[in-house]
Formats: sequence, structure tokens, C-alpha cells
Amino acid sequence: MLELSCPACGAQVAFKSRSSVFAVCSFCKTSAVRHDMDLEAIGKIADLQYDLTPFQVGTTGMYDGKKFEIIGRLKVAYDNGFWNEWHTISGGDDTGWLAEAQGFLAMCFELNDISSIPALEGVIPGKLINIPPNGYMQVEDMRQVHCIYSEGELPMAAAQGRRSMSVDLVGEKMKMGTIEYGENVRVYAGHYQHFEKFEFQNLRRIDGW
Amino acid sequence: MTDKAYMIVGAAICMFFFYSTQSGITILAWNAVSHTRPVGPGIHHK
Amino acid sequence: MAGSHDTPEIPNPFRKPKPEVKVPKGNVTTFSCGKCGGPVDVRYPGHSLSTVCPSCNSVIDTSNESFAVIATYYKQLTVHPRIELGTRGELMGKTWEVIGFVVRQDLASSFKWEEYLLFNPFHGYRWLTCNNGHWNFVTMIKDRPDRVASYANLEGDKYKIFYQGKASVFFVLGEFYWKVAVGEEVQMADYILPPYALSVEEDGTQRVWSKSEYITPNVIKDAFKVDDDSIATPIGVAPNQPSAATKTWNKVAPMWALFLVILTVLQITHLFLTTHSVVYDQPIAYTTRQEGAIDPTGGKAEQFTTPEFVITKNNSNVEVKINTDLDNSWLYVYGELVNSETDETFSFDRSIEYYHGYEGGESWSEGGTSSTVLIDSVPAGTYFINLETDNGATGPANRHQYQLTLTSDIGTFGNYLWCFFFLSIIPIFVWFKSRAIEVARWSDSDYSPYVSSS
Repeated sequence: MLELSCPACGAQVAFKSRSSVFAVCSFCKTSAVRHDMDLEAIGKIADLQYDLTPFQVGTTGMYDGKKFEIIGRLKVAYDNGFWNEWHTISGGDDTGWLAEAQGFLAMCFELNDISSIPALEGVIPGKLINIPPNGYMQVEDMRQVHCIYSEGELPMAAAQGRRSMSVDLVGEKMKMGTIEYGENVRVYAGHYQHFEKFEFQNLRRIDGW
Repeated sequence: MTDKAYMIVGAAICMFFFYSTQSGITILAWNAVSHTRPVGPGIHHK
Repeated sequence: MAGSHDTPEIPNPFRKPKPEVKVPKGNVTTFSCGKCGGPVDVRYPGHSLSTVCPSCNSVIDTSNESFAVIATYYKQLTVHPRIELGTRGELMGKTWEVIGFVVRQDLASSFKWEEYLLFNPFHGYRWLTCNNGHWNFVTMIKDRPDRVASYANLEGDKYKIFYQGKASVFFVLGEFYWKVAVGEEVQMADYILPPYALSVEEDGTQRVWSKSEYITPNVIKDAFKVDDDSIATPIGVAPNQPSAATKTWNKVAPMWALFLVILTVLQITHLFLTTHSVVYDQPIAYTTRQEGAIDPTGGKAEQFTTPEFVITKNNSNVEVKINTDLDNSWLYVYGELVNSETDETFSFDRSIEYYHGYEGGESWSEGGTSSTVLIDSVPAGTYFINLETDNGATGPANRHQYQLTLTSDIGTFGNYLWCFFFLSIIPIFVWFKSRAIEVARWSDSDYSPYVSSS
């Protein structure tokens, strides 16, 4: 684990994943981009007005027989709502994403080979797209999203306001995928899974529950 | 409940049927007699 | 869930509001309604995207702090939910809070049903639906069931189409995780596999599948501590209401088939293995009485004893056949099959009569000239038969005879048919019970397999 000093307040900022290039200082909320061993402050993250999520940085869970830990979060908004994408790490340096939207949870992993992904112009709801290893999945919805909050460490510079087009896909047997058309095209594939199956620990306390 | 009872009853009926074919028993037949008189001479003895 | 019922029921709009329900205060946000100025609570800001003002029923956007009024349609009407909003209850092993209430209606029949939005910050959203007093616990699913003809297939289970139609929102209250679009129509379909059902809703851009499970009203009552008069008695049979009789039938039917196959195989084997050995076959003479004459045997019946014969198969049946030459007369035969070694005796008797004639231009006949007796479980051994006859001949005294044929180990059908019958009593009874429930269940559906041509 790499520990660097926050360029604004000097507090320790931990990097558990080598692929993380962005972090938010948990003390002063300064967002910083990592250049090898240095952090460059790029702004401050404004607090969330309402945030009713059972997860937090440090929450652990199980997926596919492996334990993972949440190390960062991206909260995005679209016209009709919000969702959270929790950056996870498991084993040595396997990173993934736990998507939390409208009570549904999905675990997915970024794909390196995106050659089968069509350009955004050809994508419409209902279209079948082949995303290995899940195979053909159907486009469920497409949303213009922007980042409204981030915390912990992330593999991309997720400043507030960062925009992208997010395309969600579903397949049989709880298969899911996401294509993010931003400055780069990023593709994720995984599965929906029920809350209990994740065997979460170190969840956030929610008042009244 | 009923299905378990039926499983037992049905198996019993099948076993009884098998027994009946092996032992020459006829059930509920108008023309059958199974009455055995006590051992002893009937109308007359040969 | 929807059924096309003839008499649409408006869900009790006149029920009095109940006393204050205790709601644990979390991070409840209160703001003033942009329409009427009344206070509006948002219990789960950040999750809820729209909320209905309890004073004026305006739908308000709660996705941001401007709290814009989206719609003001339902002003004129107040339907009171059966379960108070804010109530928490234990259901399916988890705690749920009722946060939203929707009354929807089928556009074709204007039949209405209620839906309650449940929330748990850990487990997300569920729905409770109340339709004709029947309750369902509904979970949205990400699986895409396969729709093939009139079925939807999910995880190897076949759900049968029950309803298809258009539905619209009739009334809303509470808060929702989407922006409630008032008056919008959705295409709906329900597929059933009691106690489960799959429902699909499509609105042009989205297709949402959900899986329902039937819940008895008592479970709802206990879970949410609702009083008796809020929970109506269910009417009829719900589409996915489990039927004990149907469940039993589904188990009994294959057993029935199996038993009948076993029985038939045993019967064929039995017929194949029986030897049909004729052990005695001789004519036996008797003298008829002359009319009015004294009985030739001096008042006693005529007696005859057969020579000995051997029955080789142990515990087999023996068929005794008496074949006479009767002609407008009767013959009574009493017989005893006697084991000459053990004296074990099987007795039987038969009256045989045959009358015929020609009267009024028509031939008639009555009775028959032969008769059989079946003797059960005869041990192997040497036997003879004692016979005693009496007869009702009316002509001059005459010698007559009858043929006595004994066949050992014959194949029978009676046992097979009786066992067939006994095996079928329970299944047929269960089938009738199940069918009655299924007919009632499907009476509200356009896809009933029990089509009545009325």
C-alpha cells in the first residue's frame, strides 16, 4: 500500500491499488491526481446533501468466492436519479466495481479488449451487444450522467461534473454490462447479485435501521 | 398429506393385486366362492 | 396484478385516517408544497425522486432542492391506503417501510388495485399489491424471462399467461424512487405459476419484469399490525393463489399413472402365466321328473360323485362350468369340491334356468343354459366332487345330462378392474377439487384453459 501526503492538508492519503490515479483526502475533501509518487490537488469535493447508502469506504463483501473491499466511490446523477459506483479491490490488485442503483446491486469488472463494442452512434435501447465473457446482452437504457461526488481512490480522474454517456445492458441469468462513452470508452461486465449473497461487513450505520 | 396417503394406499393396492394373482383370490366377484367348510365329510364321503 | 373484474371496486376511500403511526425519524426532510404551502415530508431524500403532497395531492420533484411541482392531477380524490405510509413491518425475513401508495386501474375494465412501495435502505425496494383483497409480495428482477407463445420461462419454470392489458395510475400518495409520471399508460402482462407470478410492464422506453409471491392477508395483518377492517376478505381465487388441491393433484397424478402402469404390467404377466389346465371335463346324467309323478329319488335330490382328479398348481383358482341342455326348464346344482387327502371342502351351488317362446309375434327368451362358479385359492392335491341336483322339467321323465368342466388356474380380470377402480378414487376426487379451484381462478382471465362457450 502506498501512502502519500495530501497536497492541501498533509494528511496521509492511502492508495491500496496501483491502478488508482485519483483520490479524495478523507480529511479536507481535496481531490488529487496522482503522478507516480506525487499528488496534485485539482479541487475540492462538495459534501453530499443526502446520502442514504449502506456502503462506505472500508466495507467488505464476497463475490465469486473472493473477498473484496471498497476503496472508493463515484456517485453519478442523470435526469431521473442517481447511482453509486463503488471501486473495489480484492486479492492482490484486482479491482472491480460494485454498482448500486435503485436497490439493485451488481459487481462488474473492466474489460481490456473492447474491440467488439460499437460506436455510440449505433447504440439504441434493445440492441444486442456482445460483451465477452457474458456474450450478447441487451441495451436496457442509456443515460447522460455526470459525476456529483467522489471519495476514496479511483482509477480515473473523477472530478465533480465529469460527464459521460452510460449504457446499461442486461443478459440472461442476471448478467449485466455497462459501456461508458466518455473521453475514453470503458466497458464493464459482471452480474447482478442479491444483497445477502455479498455477505457485507463493516456497512455504514443508517439512522433508524 | 393426501399425496403421501395415496402413495401408501396405492402401493398397498398394487401389492394386494400382486398377492391376489399369486394366491388365486378373487375380490368382489359375483360368481366366486371362497368359503371353505370345516374339514369333514360333505354330502357323503367316497 | 390485475384481473378484469366486472364490478370495479374503488378501494375504500371513506375509511377514517388512523391515529398517528410511530415512525422512527431518520433524516426526514420537510419542505412547503409549492402548490398549497402545506408541509411535505421526504423520508428518504437522495433515494426518493418524487413525493406526493399529503394536503393537495400534488406530485413534487424531490431530486433537487427546488421541489418543483410536477403534477396536480389528483386533487379531487382521496383514497386512503390500507397500510399507513411510514409503517414498518417484517416480511420475508426483512424489515420494510411502506413509503408509497399507488392505485392503478386496468383501462379496459377500470378495475382498480393497490400497490404499496416498500423500502429498506439495505435491500432496496419491493412492492405489495392488493387485488380483490389478495396480496402479493413483488420483487423487481433483472432477469429477462423468455416469452414463448402463451408462456414466460424463467429458471426452468413455465409461467402461463393470465392477463394482458393497459394500466394507468389512478391515484398516488407517498414518495417514489422515480419521477411519478401521471396518467401514463403502461402495457402489462401477468404470467402465473402459483404461488408465483411474473409481470412485465412496458412503457415504450423501458421493460420491467417482476416476480410476485402470494401472501395471505393474515401475514400482512401481522407484519404491519393492521387492524381487521383495513384488510378486506379476499374475493374469489387470485391468479397465483396456491391451491392445495392442485398441488396435491400435481403430485398424485404421476403416482396414479405409475400405479396403473404397474397394475397393468402385473395383470399382463398374470394372464401370460396362468395355465388354464382342464382338470375334469365329463358329462353327468340326471333324470327329469315326470309332471305330477313322485320324485324318482324318493324326495331326495339326485346325487353323483365324480372320480378323483388332480389339481397340480397350488393355491390357484378353479373355474367350475356347468353346461346344460335345458329347454324351458331349470336345474339346481349343489356341489362340493373335496380334497380327498385333507377333506378340505369348497361348496357351491347354482340355479340354471332357460325359458323361451314365441308370443304376440315376438320371440323371447330368459336365462341361459350354462353357469360358472369360481373357487378361490384351491391347494394342490387330489380332488373329487360331490354333486346333488334337482330340476324343474315338466315333460315325461327323461334322462338328461350336463357337462361339468373344471379348469384350474384361469386368468381373471375382476381383480384388475377393481384395483384400477380403487386406485382411481383418490385421484379423481382430488382432480375434481382442483378443477373447481382452477376454473374459479381462470374465470377472470381471457386465457382460461377452461373455456366456457357462453
